[in-house]
Amino acid sequence: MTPPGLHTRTPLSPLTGPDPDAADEAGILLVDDREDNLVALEAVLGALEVPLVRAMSGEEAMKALLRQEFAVILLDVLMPGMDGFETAGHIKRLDQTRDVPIIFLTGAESASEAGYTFRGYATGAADYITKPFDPWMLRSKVSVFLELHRKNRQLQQLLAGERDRLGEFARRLEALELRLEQGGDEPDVRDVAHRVGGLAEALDELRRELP
Amino acid sequence: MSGEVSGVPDVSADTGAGLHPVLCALRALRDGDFTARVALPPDAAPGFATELADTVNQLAARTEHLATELTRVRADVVRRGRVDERLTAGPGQGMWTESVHAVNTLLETLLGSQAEATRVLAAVADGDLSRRVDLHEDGRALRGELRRLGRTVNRMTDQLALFTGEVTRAALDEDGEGGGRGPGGRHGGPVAPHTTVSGLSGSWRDAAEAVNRMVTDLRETTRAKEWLESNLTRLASLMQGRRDIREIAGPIMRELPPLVGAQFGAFFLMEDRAEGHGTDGKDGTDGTERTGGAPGAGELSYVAGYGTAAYEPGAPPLGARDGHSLIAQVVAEKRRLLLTEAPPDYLPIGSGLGAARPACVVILPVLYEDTLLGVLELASFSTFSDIHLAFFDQFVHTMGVALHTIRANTELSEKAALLAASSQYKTQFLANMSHELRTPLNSLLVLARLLADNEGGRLSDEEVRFAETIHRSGTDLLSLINDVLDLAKIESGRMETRPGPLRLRKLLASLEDTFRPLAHDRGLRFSVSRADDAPDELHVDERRLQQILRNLLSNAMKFTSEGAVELRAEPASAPGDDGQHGQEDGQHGQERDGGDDGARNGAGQPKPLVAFRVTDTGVGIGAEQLPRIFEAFQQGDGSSHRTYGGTGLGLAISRELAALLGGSISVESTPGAGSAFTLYVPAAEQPRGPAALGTGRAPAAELPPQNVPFQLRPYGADDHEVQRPQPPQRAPHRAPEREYARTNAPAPSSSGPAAWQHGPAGAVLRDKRVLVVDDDIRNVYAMTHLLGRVGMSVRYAENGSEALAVLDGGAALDLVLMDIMMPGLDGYETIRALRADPRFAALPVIALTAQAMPGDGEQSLSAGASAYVPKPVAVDTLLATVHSLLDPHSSPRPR
Repeated sequence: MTPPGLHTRTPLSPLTGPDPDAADEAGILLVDDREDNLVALEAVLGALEVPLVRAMSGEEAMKALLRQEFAVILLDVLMPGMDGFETAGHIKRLDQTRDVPIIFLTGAESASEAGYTFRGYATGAADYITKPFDPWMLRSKVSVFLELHRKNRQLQQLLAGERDRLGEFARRLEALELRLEQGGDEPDVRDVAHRVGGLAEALDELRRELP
Repeated sequence: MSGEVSGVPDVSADTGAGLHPVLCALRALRDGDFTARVALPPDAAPGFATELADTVNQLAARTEHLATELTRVRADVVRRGRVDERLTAGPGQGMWTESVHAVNTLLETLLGSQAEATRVLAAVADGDLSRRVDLHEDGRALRGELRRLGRTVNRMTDQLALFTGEVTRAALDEDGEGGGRGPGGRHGGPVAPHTTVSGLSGSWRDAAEAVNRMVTDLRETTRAKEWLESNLTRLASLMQGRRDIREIAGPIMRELPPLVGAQFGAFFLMEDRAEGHGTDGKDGTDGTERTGGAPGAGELSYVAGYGTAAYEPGAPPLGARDGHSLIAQVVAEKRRLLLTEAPPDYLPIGSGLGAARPACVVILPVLYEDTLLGVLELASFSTFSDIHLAFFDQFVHTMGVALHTIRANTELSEKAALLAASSQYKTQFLANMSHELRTPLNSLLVLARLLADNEGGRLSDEEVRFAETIHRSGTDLLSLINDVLDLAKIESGRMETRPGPLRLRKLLASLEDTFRPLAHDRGLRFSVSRADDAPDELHVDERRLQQILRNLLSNAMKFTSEGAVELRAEPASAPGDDGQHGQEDGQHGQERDGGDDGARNGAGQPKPLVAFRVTDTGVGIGAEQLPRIFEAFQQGDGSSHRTYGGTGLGLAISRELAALLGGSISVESTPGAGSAFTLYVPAAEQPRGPAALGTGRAPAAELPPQNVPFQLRPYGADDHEVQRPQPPQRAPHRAPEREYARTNAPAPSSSGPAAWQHGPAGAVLRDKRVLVVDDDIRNVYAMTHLLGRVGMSVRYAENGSEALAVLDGGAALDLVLMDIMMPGLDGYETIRALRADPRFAALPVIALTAQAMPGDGEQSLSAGASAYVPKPVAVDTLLATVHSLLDPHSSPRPR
């Protein structure tokens, strides 16, 4: 066993990016107290070409989660100090982190302890994998979560775009309203018609883009 | 009677001659011959002569009758004791009759009194002491000898009655005490009266006194016996249920000496020299003093005593070291030693007022089956009585048994504990070792697999084979480690079963799914079936059952190169009852492991079993191999291991697991033709815990929420629920020089973040950006959760330097929460550094201080904090403080 002190090294990403969700692509958080396991995970998941962030303890994992967005967490169950279940408990209780899917990784002996698997799922884990795992299986499972996250993000971007467009629409509508008010008894009908036509076009465009 | 007198002289001329026979007869009568008669010639003429002769003859006859009667009665009375014999009246009247009557009266008087006395005596003999001899005869008082006789008999009877009465009463007294002990005491009966035997005399008195003495003795003996038994019981009860000899010795040595009137008592325990520790690794003694003790295997050391304060616990008895003392003698002889004259140099018994040598010393060996366990020594100013000595002997025996029991128990429990500990160490060691061995294998296997798959196509074929070999060997090693751990767990009784409901169909389907691809790969036919009458609902530990069946199936696949493997489930009553599958030919080997008792469950009633039969057409097992296949590392021979792989532990584990499930495994095999392994398990398994509830590996415990060093509710819990008890709400600690008067936006009075989410207070907090600086990530999470719930967004910095970096980087922030206790740059320094930058001079900073350090608050304020909140943080205190610092209506704004 490595003394716990060794695991609490300074997190990988120095604070350059000011915002947690500033990173271009959400990465994978790899949590294991053993360097060799991290190397193996990196070897398996490197092909996915997303940022891989190491954490060698539950605390480090929790810190990394506050600094950066992750698509999925691979979490070792048996770690000295805060173990995987406790770490997952903290992650699942915090609003800001609870939606990140967790895949538990555990040694065969702990998997064989009846109840471990159940505990894993009870914590809210998305999956529970016994070591030594099949690299291809792990890779495909993880890529599913990456894809899910990408889709989520796309959806959010879409929603944000919609929100922007709707905001623009509302703004133009407001301007039109104002113009009508200012025009008094003799509004510039031609101008108004032009503006209403523009709004109708924008609305059509919006409708067309909706899935 | 002699003949008749003849030739009577005549009276006349011939008269004289004629009277002669008469004279002769009279002479004979005179001389006592009452049979003499006058014989007359038959021709004699009647006359005076004949009349005279006739009269004489009558006289002779009467006399003869009287004499004969007297002789007869005498003979009857004297010889035959017939006291009712009387004279019969003879012929004649007058004095003849009177004489007979007188004699008869005399007889009556004499013999009648005799008979009366006899009757009384006979009654006495029969136990009736109420009869007395009547001293009157026909209304007249007896006199003389007869009266004396009667009175003597009567007096004798009186004395006897009195004596008997006394004895009976004395005896009744004694008995009565047993039944009803009055408050007057156990022996409070009137003892004195029955020792006074007035009315008795002579031997009667002696006898009565002897009886009295006997009664007294008896009473004393009884009392002594009672004393002995009750005290033995009492002292024995002191020794009952004790686990430590010292626990016994103390109370015993407090009780025993006063009980027997001793003023000194000491108990020395015999301890094995070889293992002098154990119960006796005592304080206050150094080992050097204890060398060369009494003869024997060990040495005596003082344990407890009475009036022996001078003795140190563990000290050897005085004089024991040179081996000359009497105690050494007792140790050698194992016999009680009684000294009535203590030697002059014997230990004096002292008190505050003086000291004197004891008069009597007794040294008692405490033995158990001739093994000396200890020595008890008692000394007294008075002498020990026989009862005391008897008591000693019995007590010492009892104590010997008690000491032995304690010793045996102690040894037993020590051994058991040692055994349990070593078994636990072994299992723990194996578990740890397995874990340590397995852990590096995990990454090795993953990486080897990646290499072997040659994803990038950069490895040569040979390199790929190397990687494959690494992967295969690693996999083998891993399964070996797993098997060893399983076996160790089972053997140490740590493997527990978790029986649950299981559908047979589902089990078989899952096994079929698992093994069908394998069978297909090996080109084997594979079938899984169940008998129609097989129970579909089982109650067993599914995981263990699967483990066994997988093992049997993978063995069958492994050892079968062509043909078929079959799994069939069918009901069975008890192992071996079925004859349908066995081909009972000569070369046919069969072996069954023991485990049947589990299936029968002791009650003799066979429980319903399910038989899972795995049949293959593989290499089979030779008869000589069969007995060993269930033993660890006994798979066929070495060559089969090399050929077929595997750890050789599978069957051993399967057998143990089968037994754990209450079942067994049997095997039939014909070399070259195939094998059939049958697993019998009860259709409904009784739940079974681990044989030893070891401490094992505790499952990684989730910290209870209380352990989070923070007084927030566990975040994520429903915030609308009632809060846990919190310390009385405090006004925010604020810097005095920065007076924030609370104005028109009062803090919600209720507790919890929910109250801060809405209304004017909520509006103040919403969308504010907070930097939380804390090295304890749990605290950060708790804080982040809380602040997030009231609509604030949180940035996180792990330490002071990171916080400064975040601020310097231009992050837009409304507030900083700063933990004071941080490694590296601590809270004070960070706040000072922050305030030194004019950009952050007005930035609200709340210091989180340790409550246990009251000075921290002031110190943080002087370092530049806007306010401080003590940890553990109370939700409302924190939010109120945050609110007051962020509320634009608070005035005046600092700086």
